[in-house]
Amino acid sequence: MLTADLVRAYRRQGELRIRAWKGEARPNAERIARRYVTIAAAHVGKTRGELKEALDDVPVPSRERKVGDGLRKLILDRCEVGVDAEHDPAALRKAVFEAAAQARREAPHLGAFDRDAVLTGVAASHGLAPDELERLLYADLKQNHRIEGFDAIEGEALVDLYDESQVQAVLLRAEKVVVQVACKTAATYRYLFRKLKFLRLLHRIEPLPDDGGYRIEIDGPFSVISSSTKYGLQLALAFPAIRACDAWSLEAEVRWGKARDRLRFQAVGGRKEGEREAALPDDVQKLLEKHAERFDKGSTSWSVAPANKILSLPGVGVCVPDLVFTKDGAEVYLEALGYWSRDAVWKRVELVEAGLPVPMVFAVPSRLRVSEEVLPEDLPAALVVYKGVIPVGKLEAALESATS
Amino acid sequence: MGISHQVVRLAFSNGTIEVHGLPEGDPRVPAGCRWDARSACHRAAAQDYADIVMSFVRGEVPYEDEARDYPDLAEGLRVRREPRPYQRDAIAAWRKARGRGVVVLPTGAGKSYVAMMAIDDRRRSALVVAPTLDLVRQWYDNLRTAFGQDVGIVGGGEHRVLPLTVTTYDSAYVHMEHLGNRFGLVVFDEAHHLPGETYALASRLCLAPFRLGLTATPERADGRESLLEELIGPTVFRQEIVEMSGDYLADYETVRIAVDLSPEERARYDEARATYRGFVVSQGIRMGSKTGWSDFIMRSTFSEEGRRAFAAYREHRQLAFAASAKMDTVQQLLYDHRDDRAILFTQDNATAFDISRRFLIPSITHQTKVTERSEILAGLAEGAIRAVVTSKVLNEGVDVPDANIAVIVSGSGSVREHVQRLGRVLRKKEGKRAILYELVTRETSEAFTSERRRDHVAYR
Repeated sequence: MLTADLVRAYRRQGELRIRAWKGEARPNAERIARRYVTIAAAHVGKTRGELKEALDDVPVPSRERKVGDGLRKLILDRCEVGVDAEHDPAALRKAVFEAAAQARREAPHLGAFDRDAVLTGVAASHGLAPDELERLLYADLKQNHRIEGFDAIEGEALVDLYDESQVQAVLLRAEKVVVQVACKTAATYRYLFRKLKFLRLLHRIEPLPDDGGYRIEIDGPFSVISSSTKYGLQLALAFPAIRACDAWSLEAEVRWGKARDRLRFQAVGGRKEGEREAALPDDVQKLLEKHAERFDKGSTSWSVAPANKILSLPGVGVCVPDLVFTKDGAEVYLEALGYWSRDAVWKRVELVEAGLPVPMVFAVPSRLRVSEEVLPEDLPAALVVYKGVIPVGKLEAALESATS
Repeated sequence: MGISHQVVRLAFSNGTIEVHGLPEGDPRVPAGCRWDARSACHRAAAQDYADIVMSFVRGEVPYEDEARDYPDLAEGLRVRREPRPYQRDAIAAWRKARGRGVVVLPTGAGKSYVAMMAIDDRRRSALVVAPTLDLVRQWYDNLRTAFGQDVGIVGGGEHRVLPLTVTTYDSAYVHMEHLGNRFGLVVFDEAHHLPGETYALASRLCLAPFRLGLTATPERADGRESLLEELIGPTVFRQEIVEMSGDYLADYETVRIAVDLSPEERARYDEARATYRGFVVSQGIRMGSKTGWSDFIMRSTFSEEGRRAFAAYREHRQLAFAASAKMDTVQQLLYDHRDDRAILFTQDNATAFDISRRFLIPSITHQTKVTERSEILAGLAEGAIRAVVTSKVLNEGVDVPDANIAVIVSGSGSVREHVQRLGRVLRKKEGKRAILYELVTRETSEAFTSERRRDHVAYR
């Protein structure tokens, strides 16, 4: 991840903006990136310090220094480093420094202290040559770490990564983020909420008009007491999940610069052409196809479509259904818990009991050992336990029961 | 709004106290709590835990406490020594302030024993927060010996939480949202660090009802020391260095050794300084002003000339900091004091590593792990090694009782840094006389830096 000082940003009227690429700036950045990638790949087996020196030798125009430094950081982050495991440098140091202290105390005059003799003696006792001992003495320092691998990347892709990382780096200084997101499938929303939960962030969700997605305020528990950049790292780590949404825009309050001025920051993006859409889980996809066939044949009057709704009950939790079934104006949502744990089922029961705003059916695999009776009959929800594939007939009965 | 009959429940959540079971606007909600619609409960900073509990107790509101998760200590101090009179007075004043307050005592006066007495007095699970890994190591050793039990460490690559645990301010800031309910007493060592914007949050995310701050110098350049009262408690006891000198600190002398650059170094120095000064003058930067340094940094990145000026700035300083004559003097001093215990201080890590490799003495920098630091300082105490070189990490608080020689190879103009470095060798010991050597390269900017840092009564 980039640090805030590596972001090409400027301020305008209380707003922090990332500088757009102009003229030759982007092609220049790609040239530098390609050169860095080649050098990093050629330095596998050498030290981190040697790689840094080689990167220093690449001429970077003064105006593009920040880009150069940012690309360097991303290159170094992609290096896998390790320390010579055969000899423990700390143990070697201890032996050398204790031997040197003794030799110095025994020396009758200043000139009698022989550094080379100390090194030769310790090297011999460790089965090493003196120059090898000198090399190993501080082999565990960061700059002496050996590069064991490099996660290769194209120059252009590295510059794209730099662009994304700039937004993340700004979010490191964020107190609060408000996003507007729209996703075509439940999986993408779920990825976002799972990420927020994992990062222990809290949120407030509002639907946007005309099924235009959701507005989500994201910050941490302490934010209700006072603003803080404490959650900046979590907000930055949540960004890939926001970026995965089909359409997204983001507004953040950030504390920027040495004086930590409060500024507004905005970013916008969405799925680019050619980028793969998130697929439905296999069992849900199969159910969708099977049910659509039955509908076409007239065997069922329930129509079905992928759902894109977030059901949130503050203080209890969030549920993101996979499919929505419709009949005579009635809607029932289905969430398939095929890849979830037993705890997730109890959480859904809690949500229904707390008053989910729509009728729900939960499809639960029998391996989770949950009975269909865990949901009381008087609630607008049903649970279908299945083995293998979700049974259409049983599901339809549950849809009817959830609306009755 | 009617009074709810739901049971009131306190929970600790990510450094905050959640109050469940009271609807928004309920008159029984304690001051400091705010309604949080995101989780449908009231919320307050964990620091307000004691006040919330007191409010329910006073209002006779029954509550379930799921927030507090700290044990009492089964054993108190294993080794008790007679406290010095001021240590006894300090702990009495802290106890009178209901176990919340700051104790101000000079370096070397035994502040940590005051903390041991506080832990022993309260017998609650305790967390000690210190500014550096070296101090963490020192607290770890001291607590283990004093209480005869294992001690946890959070920071420096370790994460082990026990009823007695030590951590750094940085780690406390990062981890307090998860650890904040595990301790009944929190000790902030070198507490003047706490009022910084980020570190202050470490205190707010912790529910410990009992708090002790220890410092020799609570005053801060930004004036935020007034926050200490909110974060820890009032200053309950204060005694200054002049009231204690002679009785509790070692005798010492300071020796300033001026060296010359070699002719070749002098030529390089003059050339580099001319390049750097030429740029500064051409850009109209006033280095002595408040923004001088940041102006220089900013402008040096915009042009090739600026980058050259910055490189020249670094070169001329490096030449003054590590002049070859200084290295010869270091060699001589290491030999002269080969039977003593010496700490060499440098301004930067590169010089520390250079001295370590050249003279085969251990170095302690931010990259040295806690266990190795511990071994090095133990080796120094036992005499297996006689000198250690460090950049800035041993500046503050670290106790090396046997060290009697300090050599400032290079340093900043900060009086605080210089006094703290001197403080490392002032721990009182029978018959001990400490010497502080300061190596200064003549006719360089370092000579001026030296004058600035010696502006203190300690350099008589």
